[in-house]
Amino acid sequence: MVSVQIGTTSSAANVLNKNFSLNSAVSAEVKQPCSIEAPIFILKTNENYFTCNYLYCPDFNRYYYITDISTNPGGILALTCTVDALQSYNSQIKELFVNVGRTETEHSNIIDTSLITTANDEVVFLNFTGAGNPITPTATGRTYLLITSN
Amino acid sequence: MALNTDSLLSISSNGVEYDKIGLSKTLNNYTFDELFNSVYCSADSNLIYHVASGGDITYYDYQDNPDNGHIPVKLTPAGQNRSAIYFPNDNPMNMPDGLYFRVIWLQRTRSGYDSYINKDGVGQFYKAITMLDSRHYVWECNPPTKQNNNYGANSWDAEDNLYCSESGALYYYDDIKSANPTRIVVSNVIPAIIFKFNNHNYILPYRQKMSYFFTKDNTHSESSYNPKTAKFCYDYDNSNPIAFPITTEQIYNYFNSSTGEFSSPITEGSYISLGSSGYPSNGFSNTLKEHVMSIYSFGGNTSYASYFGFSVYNYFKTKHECIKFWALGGLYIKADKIYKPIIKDGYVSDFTEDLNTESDIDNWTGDTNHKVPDESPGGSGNDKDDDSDDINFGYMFSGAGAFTNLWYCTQQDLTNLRQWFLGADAEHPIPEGFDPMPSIIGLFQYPISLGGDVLEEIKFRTSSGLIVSTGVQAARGLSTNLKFDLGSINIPARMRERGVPFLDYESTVECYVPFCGVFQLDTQTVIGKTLSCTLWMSPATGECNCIVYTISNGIKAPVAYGSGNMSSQIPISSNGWGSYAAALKNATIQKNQIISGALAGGVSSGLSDSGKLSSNFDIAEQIAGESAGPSFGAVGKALGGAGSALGILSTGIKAYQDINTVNVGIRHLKASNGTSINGAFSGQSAWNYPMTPYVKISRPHYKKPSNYAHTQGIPLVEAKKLSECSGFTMCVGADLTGITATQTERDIISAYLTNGIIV
Repeated sequence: MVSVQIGTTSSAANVLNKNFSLNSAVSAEVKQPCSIEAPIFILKTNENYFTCNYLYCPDFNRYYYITDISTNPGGILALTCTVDALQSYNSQIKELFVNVGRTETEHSNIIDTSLITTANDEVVFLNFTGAGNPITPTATGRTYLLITSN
Repeated sequence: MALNTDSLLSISSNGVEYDKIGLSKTLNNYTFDELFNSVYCSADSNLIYHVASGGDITYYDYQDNPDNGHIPVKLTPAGQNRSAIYFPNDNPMNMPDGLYFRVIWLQRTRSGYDSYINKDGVGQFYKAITMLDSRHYVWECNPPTKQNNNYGANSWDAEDNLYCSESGALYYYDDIKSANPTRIVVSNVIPAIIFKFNNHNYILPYRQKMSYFFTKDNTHSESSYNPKTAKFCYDYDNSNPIAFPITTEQIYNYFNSSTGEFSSPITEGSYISLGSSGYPSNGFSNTLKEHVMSIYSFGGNTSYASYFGFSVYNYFKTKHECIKFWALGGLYIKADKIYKPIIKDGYVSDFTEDLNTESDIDNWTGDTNHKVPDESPGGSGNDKDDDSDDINFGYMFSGAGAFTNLWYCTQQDLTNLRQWFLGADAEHPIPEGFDPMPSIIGLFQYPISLGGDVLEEIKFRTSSGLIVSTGVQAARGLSTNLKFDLGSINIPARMRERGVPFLDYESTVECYVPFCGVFQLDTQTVIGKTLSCTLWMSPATGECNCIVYTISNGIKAPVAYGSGNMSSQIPISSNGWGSYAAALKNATIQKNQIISGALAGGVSSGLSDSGKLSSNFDIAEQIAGESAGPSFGAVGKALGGAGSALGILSTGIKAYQDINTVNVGIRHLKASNGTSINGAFSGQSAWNYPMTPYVKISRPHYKKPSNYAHTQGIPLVEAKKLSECSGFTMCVGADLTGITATQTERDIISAYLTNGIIV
């Protein structure tokens, strides 16, 4: 017999810090042979667990996704599970030093090859301003240069 | 060695920034030699720097050393003749070993006119020179620490004398009264030295300096050539202007007949030094308005001057033997005129434009028995900048030379000349048999007024040497380059503002400069920077050069150089007219194509009066009509035809103005079309192009879903602790050491990290 807490999570599988809610612990049998990464918990209960998708087994010190729930005669439920490694090792993972290749919140000048650019550039013309002595064409004044021999 | 642009010196002074720009090369192709061969002048409130053209700084020891016959000793050591440049940081460019200088201190007063630039008073501070090698100061004079003299606090110690000639040449004396005085002349710093102290410009930029006259001190013996004790005076109220050329006799008489302002007449045998001209300024009216060369003779040691870029090395010894007259082969050059001194019996008796006139200078083959070095201390003298700004761009002369005269003419001047050609001026008849046509070498039109305020009569010379007057006055071309400040612009890092900064660097930036064309700029260099543009034009040739440079954090760096030609040649013969008309027609076609392209590109919104444009763009038809007309035969006819031609050209300029209207319409216009530009931006057709520089920035369009960053992330590539991250995080090569999971679980974790987790 092991103790399990059955509940739900709405977080995506790749979320490190999941949001979940778990009910009180109940006792369950573990179908033998048992894989700790994909166990099947068997319990006799009158509770409705059909809306649950998440489970914590303190004895295994792991969080699991409930991947299937099967009913059996006599009120026996079989919960087929797969380990949630991210949540189970959450604290150790957060201590990892990693090379961050992409991030949601920080900008850089690195070219993003995943971004789709189109063939149509945005073209902008900007004039120089503040000319102190601009070229000001005129048709009057000494606008002619005559060159004569010396 | 490539130049580190970050180390380019740029110092602000009273909000003004100075910079070194001089070579038409991309910056990273500068070599040290080229760097030093350019001219650099920069200053802040305390320092002045200068790099002379040629890169050389020459030191002369002017000690009155009888052992060497008082001949100045050239002290420039081999390998240490680099000129002056100062870098604010400690040798950031790994400069080669050598001597450099900076100006630090100099003090003088002008109270009384009886002294050289030196002591005598308080409160007027100049900057002096100190020499330093690439890493250390070699020596430094610091006058305030030596106030043991009789001239009051803060005045210069009599034993430490630094003074400046009117050309800006600096002389440094150290402990002159000691047993072993050191007197050093730094003579190759002339044009770019700028003295600004207490809001007074005592030694002004080259064209604004006041006039001085230096004479040998009467109290000294003939053999004592001590500029320290030379007298100087100047024509304070400009009441006695000297007209140049001036003969030896005239110089002598000038000094000895003047009273009041001139401290003392010179005596026979005196060596004199005449100050240069400049523009009237600050009450120090220029005495020698027409003077285009300076004549120095500090006791016969040196003479050096330059005006339009020429080094003139002259000697006058009044009422005495004319020791030497050496200036570009013995000729006196004033703008595009060349004078030959008529020397006889040791005197310069006159000057002539006729180079065939006999003169003793023709017999001058050597340079002996004098007390001057063979070479002018100023070197080639091509480091002269005759404008008055704070940036010395070096050789600015663009004269036509010995064989031609330049005339800046109005349309009326040409009409008057045409009338003279037609023989309509009875007071100025054309000599029988004289055909003035061959004397007309060229006629150009410019889209700007060339200026010129000194009028002279246009004259021709017959084959027999007879001068023929036309009675037509025109401005004599001085050929000073015209400078245009074309403004600046900030290149915005727009994509950064939009959250995709890397796309700023995926953008392309092109810059158009009038008459010089379009440049593709280095995006990395200009994004987020301010671009400025300056253009120079030589009126003698129409050639123009531009530079576009960035200013960032007070540092200027060129990013583009370009060149073109503003002038438009007007044919003066029947042979030329046909090609001219064709050229005009082609120019008009080009212009219409540009306008058409601009309109097609969406510029039409910027045109409020397209009808006006089309009416002005009918030049092609007008030209076609003119070319189909009777042939314009002679020059006179060509000039006379200027009436219609000028009308056409005026129309062309008017068309330019409309183009500029288009240009205004282009401003901030977003378009989807590209601009393909090829060929030259020269000649009259270029007049129709925009006269304001602009940049064209082409930024890539991109597709970025709103949840892009949350689901795919933005590139970062940075080592971090995962707990410091937030949101979508994708790792590269995660190391799972420390995770006590099964291998399958580790594989799962690794896969998530690689594909992205949300922290």
